[in-house]
Amino acid sequence: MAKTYDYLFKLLLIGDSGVGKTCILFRFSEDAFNTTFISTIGIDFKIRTIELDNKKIKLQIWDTAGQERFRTITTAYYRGAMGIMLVYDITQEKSFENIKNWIRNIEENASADVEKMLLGNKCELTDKRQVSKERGEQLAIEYGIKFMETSAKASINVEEAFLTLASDIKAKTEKRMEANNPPKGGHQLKPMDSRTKDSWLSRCSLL
Amino acid sequence: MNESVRYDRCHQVQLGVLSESQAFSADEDVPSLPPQGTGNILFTHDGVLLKKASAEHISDLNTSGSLSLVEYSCSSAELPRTRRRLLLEWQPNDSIMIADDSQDQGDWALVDRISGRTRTTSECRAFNTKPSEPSGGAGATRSRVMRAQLEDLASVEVRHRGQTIRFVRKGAGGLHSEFFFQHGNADLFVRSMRDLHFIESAESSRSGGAGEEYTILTNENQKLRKTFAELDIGQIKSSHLPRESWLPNKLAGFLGNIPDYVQPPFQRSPKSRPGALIAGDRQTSPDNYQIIGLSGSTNSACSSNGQSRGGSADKSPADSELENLNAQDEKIVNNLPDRQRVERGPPLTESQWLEFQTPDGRISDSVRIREIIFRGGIVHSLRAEVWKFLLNYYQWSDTQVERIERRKQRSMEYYNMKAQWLAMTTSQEANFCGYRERKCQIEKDVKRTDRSLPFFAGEDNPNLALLQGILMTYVMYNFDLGYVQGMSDLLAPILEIQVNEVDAFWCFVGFMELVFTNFDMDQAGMKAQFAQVRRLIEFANAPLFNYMRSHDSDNMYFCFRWLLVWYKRELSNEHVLKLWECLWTRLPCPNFHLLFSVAILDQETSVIIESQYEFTEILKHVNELSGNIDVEKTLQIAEAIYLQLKASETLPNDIRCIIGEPLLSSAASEETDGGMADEEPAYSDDGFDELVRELTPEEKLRQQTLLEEACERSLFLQFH
Repeated sequence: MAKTYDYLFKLLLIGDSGVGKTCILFRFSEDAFNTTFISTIGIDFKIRTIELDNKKIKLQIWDTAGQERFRTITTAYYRGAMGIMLVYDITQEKSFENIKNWIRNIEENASADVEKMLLGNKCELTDKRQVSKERGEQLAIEYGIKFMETSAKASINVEEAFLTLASDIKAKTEKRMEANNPPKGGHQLKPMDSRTKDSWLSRCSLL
Repeated sequence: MNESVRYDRCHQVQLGVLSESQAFSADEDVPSLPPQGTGNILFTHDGVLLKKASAEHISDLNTSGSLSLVEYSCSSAELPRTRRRLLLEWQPNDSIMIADDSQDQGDWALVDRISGRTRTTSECRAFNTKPSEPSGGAGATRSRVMRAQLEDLASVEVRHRGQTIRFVRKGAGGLHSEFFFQHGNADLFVRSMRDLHFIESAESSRSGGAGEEYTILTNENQKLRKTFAELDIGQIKSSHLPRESWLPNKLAGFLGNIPDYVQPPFQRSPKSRPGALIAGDRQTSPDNYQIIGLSGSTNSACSSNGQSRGGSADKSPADSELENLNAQDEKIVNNLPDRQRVERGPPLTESQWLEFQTPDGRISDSVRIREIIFRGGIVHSLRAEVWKFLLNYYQWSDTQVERIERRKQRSMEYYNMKAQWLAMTTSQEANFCGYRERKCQIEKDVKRTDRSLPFFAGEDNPNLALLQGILMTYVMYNFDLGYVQGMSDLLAPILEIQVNEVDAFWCFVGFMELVFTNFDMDQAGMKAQFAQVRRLIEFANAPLFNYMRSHDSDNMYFCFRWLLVWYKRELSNEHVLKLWECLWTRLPCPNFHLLFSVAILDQETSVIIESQYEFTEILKHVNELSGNIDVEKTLQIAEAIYLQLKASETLPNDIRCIIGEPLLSSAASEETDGGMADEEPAYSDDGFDELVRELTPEEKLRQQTLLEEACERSLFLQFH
């Protein structure tokens, strides 16, 4: 069976309800924006395959419901995630304040070495801004993670954000594989083991 | 055509009898006044002024309070079997307010009282409280409660055109107490007593006079003993049936109190139904019992045609017991019977609806109506009206006048609650995180609920404000639950149909009563439903189950959206309306909404297995079914699966529990009492009764049938 990708990365979008997680995902996967919004119930994912350094990377990006009530269900999906996008809404102070709760949630439920990234969405709404870019940057530094302001509506930085996160995961993955399996002759990287099917859990733990 | 004595006001009694289940510990002594422990309020009337009483209650004279008849059951060494003690209790209303420990929300006490809903177990854990207890258990106010043992009283008189009742002591005791009923319904209270055979009309007052006098019966225990001996209840009692799990809580307790001495062989011979004697009843029955001709439907508890009336709801314990015994005798077959083809029908039409209305506006045969609706839905123009009944906002038995009155009252109640949040000041809001969060979430979700439908489309659509207003008012109505994502999805179709904000609110309240465990803080209700769907598939679709289990996909998480908002996101708006009205009939069984999930997956079985889907692919596939589900076909399959399960002779008890079939044999009791009961979701008989004040129409019907049956027998014995 011809494999259509070299890597499969499982990513997760989390953040308060209404910050634009689904719109970011829609922008990235379909390059579109729909003004008829609808809240996310339960969990869904979208796929997009990108290319980095001549490697095909299949991104499986999971979108979750934001309301706290559903965390007992959504956290079940954290475990297999290799990268997590923490999203807040720059026009909603509260969603920014809650990032620390989401970080705690990740620490409790995701694998320790998961790549994280902070996104301040809706950056096109400058006149409604409540959270300055500096505060976002500051918080990201605090947690030692990367930060970007995005706009799903105006298509700002969405693509860049995912490429950055994917690139970081790729680097980390390859580094680890080299450590486990030092290159001798031709360094043919085998990111996956013999299993060809995606298990919904812990792809990264295999690596 | 059977002639049958119908038990008047039965439902009123029933509410009290069945709503609370509190029992004494078995070794507790006969309580002297004031009794220890908690009693069962058989019925209670509010707005009752204490007019005359002994000196110790002098400070409460002319105070408005509640008059109740409370049953305390107890046993002692001399009376090893439980004995009932009946107490008349009056307590002032202010103490009722204090007594209700569910009112720990300060300013929101009023809201809690209106909701009448106790917290879910998970909520209680979260809030670190205990579920609220019936007000009868209020220790702090005990001293102000006026009590009298019924057996110490000789008679009761109704005076002043039903405004006053007075109780007279035994012997030369004279007047014990007098009460003034502000609502003028003292006769109703007396009628409730009479209907439970605690009193009977005194001969002297039969032909009218200044007032009506009733003698208080003291030997009711003996009478009941005889009655239930005739009912062959000894067998039901002595069997190891875990009856609490399928009999209405209180009725089970009621039966449990009957002495054990009679153990007749279990049989159901025609002669055990005293049809002729009941007909003979007519000569002797007092005029307070309405005699009506019935086509046998009221007697379904004793008839064996439960099948034709849409399932288990109508079965008496005796029927179920008999079936179970028969089933056990027969050879055990492992396979499910063949799946039958099930037909759907046309929707309920306006002319049909009119036919079911009596001249005073009652709906005559709600069972039949629900059958029609289950089979074919409702024509669109009729939805607004009929949904009010299905969602327990209107009562089938109410007259047109009563309905208008109910609507008026509910309207006032609604606007009172609405005024509460409208009156919230900015600083109040700033200091009230719980309120703020709920409000904020509602604002976010209203903007993105069904905006593609014309009813909610466009900027500044006034219907969005209605949607928001109703959800905010629901927060005031049920602050503990508050607002959780998904609720706006449940409300939107209701609002679209009702249009009127008050009607939509109360219909929504009715819907929420069915599904509130979906929104449990810890998602326990959802998890329980996953477990149930999993179990149903295991039994009804073994190949799919085995496949999913071997591919780590049997957690059923992919059903989350289906179950949370009852397939709202999977179907077109018109189909949602149709599916919901079918499911609201609660036919053919409780938890039919779970069978709908089983039926969807049933149709996808080959795709899932042949494509070798793993969990992610199954989830993706399931999510992408949205918009591609054939409601009619899926309803047919769901019903066919239900019929298969029901007909299976080896159906395990946990599945019986899910689909509302009576349980088999004693082995099940551990399982049911231990594991399942705690995680029962919205529809279980067990969990549901504790959590809601109003029973669903189907449960009411079932309980009423049981109760009517018992009452008929009791009545029959009383006059023979």
